[in-house]
Amino acid sequence: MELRQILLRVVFTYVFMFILLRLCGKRGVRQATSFDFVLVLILGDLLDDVLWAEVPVSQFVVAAGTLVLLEVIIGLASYASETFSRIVDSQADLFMVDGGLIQSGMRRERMNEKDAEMMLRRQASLERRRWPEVKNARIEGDGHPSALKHEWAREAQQRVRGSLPMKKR
Amino acid sequence: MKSLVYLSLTIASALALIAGVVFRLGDATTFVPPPEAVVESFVRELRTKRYQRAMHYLSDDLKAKVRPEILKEMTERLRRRAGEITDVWGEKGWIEGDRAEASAIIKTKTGGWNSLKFALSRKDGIWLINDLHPLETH
Repeated sequence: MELRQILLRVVFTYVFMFILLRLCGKRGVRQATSFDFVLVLILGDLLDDVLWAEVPVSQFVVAAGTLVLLEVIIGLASYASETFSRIVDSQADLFMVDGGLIQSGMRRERMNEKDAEMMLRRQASLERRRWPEVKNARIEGDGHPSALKHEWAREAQQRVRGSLPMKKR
Repeated sequence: MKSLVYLSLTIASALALIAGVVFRLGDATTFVPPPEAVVESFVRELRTKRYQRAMHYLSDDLKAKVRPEILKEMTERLRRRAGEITDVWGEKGWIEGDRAEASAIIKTKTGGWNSLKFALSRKDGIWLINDLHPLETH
């Protein structure tokens, strides 16, 4: 296969994908949901076929365009309807309340105590002895953990940092 | 809603651009798989025993005569003659208007390297294989 043909195909597909993804309004990769990840994998496979001239470029345009169109339609529908959003988007799952692990939430997310420990350490720099500071912690819809501390724990932290005056004894 | 309109317009414009390049400017190798890529893909499908998928690379005339079972028999005969195919790649031949020739170079376990020369014709801008004799006569 000639290099010129590869070059032209690469330029065309790059520009097409660039415009498509800009119009798709995707957020950063870190905010991507697991479905976005699957979409990217499929698009990657389609790109591979077109770059090595295994399929006509028109087939790639139709396949990739339809996928991205569907993604946008689903996004718009879930923005418009809360019910639809509940069906297509993953919901946040609580796995800790007031420093105690919630087994049902952990089961739904298929995580064990060690996973929870690691997530809290990474996300909120919370070691096990400081779990009582956590008001609630959840796995968000995009698969990332988030933790909300009790008011008293936040105030104490701010005092340590110096942004609030120390309490007088 | 605006994004849907823009997306549809982008897809339509891309298709119009491709149609222009293929049908107006006569591109036969860049926006459509060139003949050597077609024969390579065809023989790869045969090698992996996906005969139904291999049918997509045949011209309408051939599709009318050949069924996946016949492709299977032809491939089996080729295997018996030349050995198990271990690798395939396409090699450029010639292109004249809507006719072309390209070869699939196959590497077999017993017979070394062999060349299968296929005749192709163009329909709706796409190259399709016109005859299957190379599978039989090799």
